[in-house]
Amino acid sequence: MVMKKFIIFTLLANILFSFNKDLLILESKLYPKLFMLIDDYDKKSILNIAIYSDKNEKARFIKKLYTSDKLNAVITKKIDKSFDVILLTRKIDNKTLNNLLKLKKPIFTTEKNNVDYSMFGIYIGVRIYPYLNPYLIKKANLKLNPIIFKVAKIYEK
Amino acid sequence: MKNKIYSLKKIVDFLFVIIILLFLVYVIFDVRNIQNTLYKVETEKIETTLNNELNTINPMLKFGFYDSLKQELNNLLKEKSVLLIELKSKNFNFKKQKLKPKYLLIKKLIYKNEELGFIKIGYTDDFLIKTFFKKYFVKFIIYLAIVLPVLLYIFMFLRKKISKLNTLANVVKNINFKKHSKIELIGNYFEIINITNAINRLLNQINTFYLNQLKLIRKLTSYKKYLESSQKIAEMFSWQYDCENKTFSSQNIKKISNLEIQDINEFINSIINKKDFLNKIDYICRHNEELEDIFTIVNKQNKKMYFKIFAKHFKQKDKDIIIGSALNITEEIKKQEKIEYLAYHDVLTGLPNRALLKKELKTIMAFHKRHKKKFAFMFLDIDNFKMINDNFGHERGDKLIKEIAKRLTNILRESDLVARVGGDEFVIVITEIKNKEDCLVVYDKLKKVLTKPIKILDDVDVSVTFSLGISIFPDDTEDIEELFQYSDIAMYNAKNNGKDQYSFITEELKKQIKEYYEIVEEIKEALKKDNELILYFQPKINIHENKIEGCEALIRWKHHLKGMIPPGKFIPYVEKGGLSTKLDSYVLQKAVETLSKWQTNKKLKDLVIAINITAGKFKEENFVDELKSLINKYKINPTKLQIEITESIGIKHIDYTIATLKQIKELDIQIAIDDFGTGYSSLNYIKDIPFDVLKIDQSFIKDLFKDSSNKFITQMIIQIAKVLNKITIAEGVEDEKTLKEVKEMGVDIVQGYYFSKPLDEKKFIDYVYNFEKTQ
Repeated sequence: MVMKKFIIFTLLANILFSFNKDLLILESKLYPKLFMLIDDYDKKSILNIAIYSDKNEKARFIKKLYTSDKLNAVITKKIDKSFDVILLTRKIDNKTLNNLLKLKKPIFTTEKNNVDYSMFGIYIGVRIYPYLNPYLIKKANLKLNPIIFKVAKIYEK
Repeated sequence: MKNKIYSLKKIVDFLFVIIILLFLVYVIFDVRNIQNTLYKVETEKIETTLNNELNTINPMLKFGFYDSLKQELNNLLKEKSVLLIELKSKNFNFKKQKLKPKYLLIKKLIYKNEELGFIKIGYTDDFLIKTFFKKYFVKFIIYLAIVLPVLLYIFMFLRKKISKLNTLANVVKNINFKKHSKIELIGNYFEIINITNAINRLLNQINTFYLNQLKLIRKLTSYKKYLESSQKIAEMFSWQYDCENKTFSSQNIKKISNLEIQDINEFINSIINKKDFLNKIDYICRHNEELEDIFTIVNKQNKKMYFKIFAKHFKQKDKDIIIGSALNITEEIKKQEKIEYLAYHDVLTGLPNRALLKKELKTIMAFHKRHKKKFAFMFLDIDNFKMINDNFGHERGDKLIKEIAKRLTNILRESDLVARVGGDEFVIVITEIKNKEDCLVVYDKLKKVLTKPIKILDDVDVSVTFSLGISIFPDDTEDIEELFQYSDIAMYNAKNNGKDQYSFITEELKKQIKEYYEIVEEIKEALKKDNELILYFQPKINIHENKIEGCEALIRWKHHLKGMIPPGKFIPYVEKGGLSTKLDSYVLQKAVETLSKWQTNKKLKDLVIAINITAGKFKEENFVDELKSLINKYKINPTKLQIEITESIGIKHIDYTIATLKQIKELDIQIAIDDFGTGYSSLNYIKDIPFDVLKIDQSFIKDLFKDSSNKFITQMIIQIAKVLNKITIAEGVEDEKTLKEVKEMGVDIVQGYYFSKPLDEKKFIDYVYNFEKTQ
């Protein structure tokens, strides 16, 4: 019975903690370009990315994807103003969101179709394109390069 | 439609200007079109851009990204063509202008059906136009640089070519085709060369035509002069009649001599039968006919003139006219009258001649026949008139005849007729006689008048007698010819009875006439046969070589019923019946036939046959041809044929005689002058006449010892022959004494009864064969 429970747990865990690597890779190609359209990020020599997550395989995988000459990714749940970009790996509650909004930093989510609690995400439908949540962006008072409005889809409630 | 003449050069200029203008218009329209297109392009572009931008602007405005919006609008304003951006909304306004825009585009800003405001974009297409026209200008310049010179070159080329054509036209305009048949080439263009060649060909033709025309005009002028001269000479003038206005006109009527009429109307008025003339002219006008008639006019000297008038109807420019000519034939008419007079009258006496006599006789006979009356037909012949002529000359003889004619005319009645029918022969027609006694009355009158002496020379008066033959119409005959014959024979009868008397025609005389005609007919028949008229040959002996030289062929008539008729009996009938030439031809052919036969005989082949040719035969045009033809036909040796012509034949027409004899000599035929010494041959003529033999007339030989002058003449003839190197023949040698004499005189050949009379062919051949033996 125990064994039976273990097996069920393991399967459930696999299901729960499994992640779409392709989606992540896709995002890692797209998001850095969006980073450059926010404020004066394009002028910065390196951007610090906070991967808001526990240190799990997915987070570690994401970190690898966002580590380059221009990007410096850190897996952490303690996020401050030193980070330039916040990258959510899963849904967060409103409280956490409000706290993060106070930092007035762009919040990206790796979850697909998860718009309500991130400023920028990715929409996968017939076409794949980035989307932005103007309400949250406005709350964070971010300056966006107008180009972003051309390439991203506006999220509306 | 009027012909409008445009200069090709001007047309080319005009076309060139038109092409340039069209090109410019095209360029202008093209530019305008391009501008319009560019405006549309620019507007489209702006609209597209704005529409694209609205996808950004609208959410940015909606969600309050004003900084980004501002930035975006500024970015939009960076577009060169965008000169103004104005955005108006509830919470955000933006306006920026670089320059005054040409065009404005206003769009409402709507996001999710929510109208947010509007955006106004001012823009210009100047930059686009500038950019485009920079390239356009370069292309245009390149195009102009290529096309314009080509066009200009074509234009200049055409202009130059047309100028040459104009120059050529001026050259052609100034051509004097009378002098030039060629123009110089003024350019090397094909057309110029072609046209020049064509013009030169045309010029050449015109020149040739002109020269021909010139020749023709000269000829025509010359002909006109000739015609005028001819008209003047021919006493001719032309005239014209207007059928409509009935008027005559003529330009050369004045040229007619003796007419002394200056005007055609005067001429028409002077026509004796003017009415007839005008009627005929009117008829020609109406019936389109011709006229050829003789009209008589009376000139101012009141003399008659005759004009032959020709007239023909013509249409001239729908006008009926008559063109005519008038030929003065007065002289011809007069001559004709004279000819007619001469044809019917004796020139010497003015009396009617035989022709008029016959003509008048018909009327007289008709009259007498109708009224059953008689008339006497008298044939009068002056006795011994030949002697008067010979003794006093022809002029005196003519004077005599004229006087006789005058006397005859004077004594006869108006109704009688006298005509001269021969040298000394007159015919007198005494009309309406009752009997023969009336004729004797007339005879007495004639005798009384005509025997009176007639002065023919100042100191010579001659008295003539006459013989008269009379026949009575209709008692003796009702035929004209028979009247002539009967009177003639009666007159001869009177002559035979001793002259100076009259003789009526008798039955006996009529019988003689009948006999005469019968004999003539028989001779004609004999000439057609081959065996009645035969040749006899009288030998000619060469008395020095004692051999037969030849013979003279003489005709004899062996009548099939009457037997042998001597020549003296029938030759007069031959002569009177006009059969001499036929008989000559007969004898000639028979002689040639005989020669042809003899040619194969050793004894006969060298004999020469002589034949007598009468004057009539000798004068025949084809006499020489006849000789030629016979020689060729019978292939005889022509040297063995001898033609004897009398001295009188030769001398009468000496030039003709010489020419004919020369032709005969060319045929190698011998020629003998017969009866020499009887005529009046002059030595001058004799030396010119080509002949071989001189025959001394037998009258000299026969009376050689009777009359010393005969001997003298014979000696002289022989001497002449010796001088001329001719052979002499003595005719009529009948005894030994004469033979001895002529031999001593130097005669070469003798002919006569001493040796032989004329023999028939067989006997002659025998004679030839026996001649040597007898000698």
